[in-house]
Amino acid sequence: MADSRNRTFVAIAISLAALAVMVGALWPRGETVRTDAERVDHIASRMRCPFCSGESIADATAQVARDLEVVIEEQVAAGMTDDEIFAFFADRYGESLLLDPPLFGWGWALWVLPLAALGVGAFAVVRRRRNREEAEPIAAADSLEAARLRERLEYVARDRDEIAIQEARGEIDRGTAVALATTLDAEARALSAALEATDEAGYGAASGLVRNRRVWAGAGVLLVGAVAVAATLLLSADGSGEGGIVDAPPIDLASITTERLEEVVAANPDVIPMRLALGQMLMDEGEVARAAMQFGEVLQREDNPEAMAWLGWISFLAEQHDMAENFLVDALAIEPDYPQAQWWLANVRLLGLGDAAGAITPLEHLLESPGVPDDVRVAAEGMLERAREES
Amino acid sequence: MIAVVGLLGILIAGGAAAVMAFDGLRLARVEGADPARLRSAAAVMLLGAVVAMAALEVAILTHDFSIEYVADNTATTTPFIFLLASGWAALEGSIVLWGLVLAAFTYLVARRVTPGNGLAVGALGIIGLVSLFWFGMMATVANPFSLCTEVVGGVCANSAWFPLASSAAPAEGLGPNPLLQNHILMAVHPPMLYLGYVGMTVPFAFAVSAMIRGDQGKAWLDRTHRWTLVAWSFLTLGILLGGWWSYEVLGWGGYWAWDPVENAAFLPWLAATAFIHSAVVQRRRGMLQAWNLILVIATFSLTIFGTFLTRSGTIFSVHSFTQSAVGPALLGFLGVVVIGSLTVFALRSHLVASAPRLESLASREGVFLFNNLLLTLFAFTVLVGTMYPLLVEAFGGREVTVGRPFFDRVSIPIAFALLLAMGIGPVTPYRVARARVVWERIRDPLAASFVGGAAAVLYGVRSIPVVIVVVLGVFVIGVIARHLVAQITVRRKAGEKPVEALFGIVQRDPGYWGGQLAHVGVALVAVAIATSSALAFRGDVTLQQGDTAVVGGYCLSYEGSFRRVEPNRVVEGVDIRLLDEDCTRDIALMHPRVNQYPNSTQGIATPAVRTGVVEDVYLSIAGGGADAIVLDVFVFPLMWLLWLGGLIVVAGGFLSVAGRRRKDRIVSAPVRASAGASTDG
Repeated sequence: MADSRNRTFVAIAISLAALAVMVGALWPRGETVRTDAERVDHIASRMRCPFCSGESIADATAQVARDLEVVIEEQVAAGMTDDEIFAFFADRYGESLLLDPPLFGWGWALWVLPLAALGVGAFAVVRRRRNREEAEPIAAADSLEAARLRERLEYVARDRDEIAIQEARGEIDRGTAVALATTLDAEARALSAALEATDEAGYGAASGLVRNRRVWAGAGVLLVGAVAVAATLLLSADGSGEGGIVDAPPIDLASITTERLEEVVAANPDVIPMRLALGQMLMDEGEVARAAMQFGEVLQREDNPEAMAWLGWISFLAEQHDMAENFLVDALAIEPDYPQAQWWLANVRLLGLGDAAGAITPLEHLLESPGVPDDVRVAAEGMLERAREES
Repeated sequence: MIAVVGLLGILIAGGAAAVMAFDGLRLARVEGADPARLRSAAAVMLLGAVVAMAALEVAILTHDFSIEYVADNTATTTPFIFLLASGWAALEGSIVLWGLVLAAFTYLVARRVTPGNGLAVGALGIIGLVSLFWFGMMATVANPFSLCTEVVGGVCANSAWFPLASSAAPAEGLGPNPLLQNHILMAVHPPMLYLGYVGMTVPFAFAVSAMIRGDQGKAWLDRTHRWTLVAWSFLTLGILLGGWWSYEVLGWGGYWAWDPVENAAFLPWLAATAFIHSAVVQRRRGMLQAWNLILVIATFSLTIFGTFLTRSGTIFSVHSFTQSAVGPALLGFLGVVVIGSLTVFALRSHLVASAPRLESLASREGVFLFNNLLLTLFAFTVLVGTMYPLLVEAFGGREVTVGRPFFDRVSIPIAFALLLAMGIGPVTPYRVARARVVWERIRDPLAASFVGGAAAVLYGVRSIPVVIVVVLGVFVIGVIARHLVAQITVRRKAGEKPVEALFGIVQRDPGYWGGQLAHVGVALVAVAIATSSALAFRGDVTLQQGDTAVVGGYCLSYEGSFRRVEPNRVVEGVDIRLLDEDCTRDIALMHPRVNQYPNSTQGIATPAVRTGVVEDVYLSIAGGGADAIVLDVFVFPLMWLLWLGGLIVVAGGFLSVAGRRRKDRIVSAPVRASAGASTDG
């Protein structure tokens, strides 16, 4: 942080110094007097050569252009003003000689139209932004509509994943990320419901509606149950002292549902092992983005190697290989004997970064550690062989 | 005989186009339709177009002057390469090439259509309609195989549409337009431009097909984004080569004159550039659906509008060498395209109304919107400036001209704003950007850009616009470089070699890095435009043989003159020795010359250019005889940077379609891998 602030300071100092040099050199000193040659150039470049292909008198190579340039030179030498010279030529060869059309009646349109377009465009952009609170109309039931809903649902899912990544990287702050995620979840629910209604369209819209109601009823019951459990756990946690919930026997991680565990975690935000368990359950269910948020929460509370390793793996799945490697290396720095992290790091380096040599060390480390399951051992040996071949 | 073959080719291609239009539109909304017949139609259309182009080239190469086009645009003395290029250098031939490119693209699209892909089937229907127009025009008002029926004074005076048996042929053709046979670039510039123009038909057709089907997804963008990028790259290359040709041939020392026809190529380029950027937003976030449809319609319409301006002779310019019934035909087609596609859009607008909204204007999406606002404003302004004289003359009855001063004045501020957005945008995170994150990414490049500006000032640059462009250009390139270096550093920590890391990063997201390469090119082009126009020296000098004069910081010595008779022209020129300011150090021997073609009374002044690291010296004969000549002497600082920057832009465009993200990764857990934000950090 301090480093970043220093660099900002240095960058601003350099910029100001350079700016001072530029302003000092370019600041207009007194009135600049145009030479006659400059005036001739200026005037000749603003009039069309009458018998050439749309080139200015200054640009055209034809003899006519040269003759006209001589006329301009004489008039400049005789002390005529620019406007007088333009008027002289316009009078003789017609107004169309002037490349910069005079601002009579229609002439204003030339300037006003683009400005008006700019205004309309800016207004449209701003309005677009203002209207974002409007509800999404979801209608029509046919195969194309279903395809549209599915595509939108994919976008929403991808947005969820990317928000988690962006938050982990610090591009989005936590509050915004949660707000965006909540909006997306609401949209995803609406889309899923609409999609279900579309799929059921063959049985009539009513059945879709009934089904929806059932889903909501089920969710409601689940929610009530979860709150009840959470309340009970909260009370028991108060009694169990420092160890918190994990020491409390009522929770069996094998049988609890994700939703219930989520409630529990929400009620006990600082119990790290619970969060880690929830994160792993979410990963098992394929809810990568939500899992990433849980692991991120853990990291905000402590430098937990397990959470780091999982975030590393999630980053790998999202093709963020550089970040994946950073997470895993950090995890191993805290806990060097961590076979899972060794295995993932080897995967990231070999498959993601194409760094076969770098994959060898973690694999060797992994094979040396005791208590590695046989199937993992076999896989690791296979990968080690491949890494040695490729490096 | 060859004329009959060529016309048959055109008619066959036209028939195939009709079949394709009918079948494609009929089957677009049929589930599981079989596209086999469409594929055959596309193949037949390509065959017909190849036959037509080949017949025209054979007629030109065998000097068959009984064909009016050959008699009017070639001669027996024309060198081989310009004979070949004559096949597309004039109006009718250029439309044959257009048809050939369109047929080739159509074949490539049709080859990959699978049964049941209604979107692509419908798109082929739309392409069929567009092709029908072009081949229809070739068969009627722009028939390249019209036979000469009457020769007056050695020139074909009358011709018949249908290849009749009795025909007359002049003994010698008129030869190509002198301006066009003066430089080899003329053989390359139009085909590149056409590849760009015609390529825009594909995204347009898919968009219209999606609208007709009521398909609101991004499938049409996914299917066509490579087409759009390839077409855009060729369009960029075409414009670049056009500028280069102008610089090397026209002798006025410039590469861009805001000529209406140059604008006609620039307008679709601007619209396509806006489309490429806003398509990213839709493919990534599902936003801007309606806007993308509007932009692709605008891009395609502007290509037709550009062709209309070029070919109708409505506007007097270097490019409009013809006047014919082609103009009204193109105008009618333009009307059908604009009204037709906007009507379809209006009928389907309720479907695209439910696009998701932006989370925050301070985000990548927000910068994309800003970029689109600027590019469309730019396009609109150029369009108004181009059309203004026509409109005023039509409705106001006064003749006015809108030229360089107007376009320079409006384009400079827009270009500055675009460069600024180009610097900040690519490192702004999606959704909501935290100011601190963006600041850290642009902080060092910002300081570097000010240092760059100060360095320019200390070097002696006193033009404020040039200094501003240098600051912005360094900023754009600096931000991209910092971003790349940051990513390479992370990978190097993982033990990769720098080059290896670079390849890995680019390979992982060629779309993004191709875009950034193009941005680097644009920044270089901007700097080159600023230096070569604001810091240029323009002067002239009159020299007699043996004279030496100091002009624009160089010493010029007139050493002699030469006259060369070539088969198709007479070349007269002078030998000018270029020395440094003190007339001591020899730099180069230059040969500015005037080429005299038999079909033109006025000679074509062909400049001599000496390109240096710091600046170009450009000599062009402006007048005089053998004893004393008037030379235009121009000095353009950093001119080479313009061509290099332009080529980098084109390379960036091609790089972005060069590779695909690798998908062959082994994932050992049953987890949904999210395709990702790999380029944000």
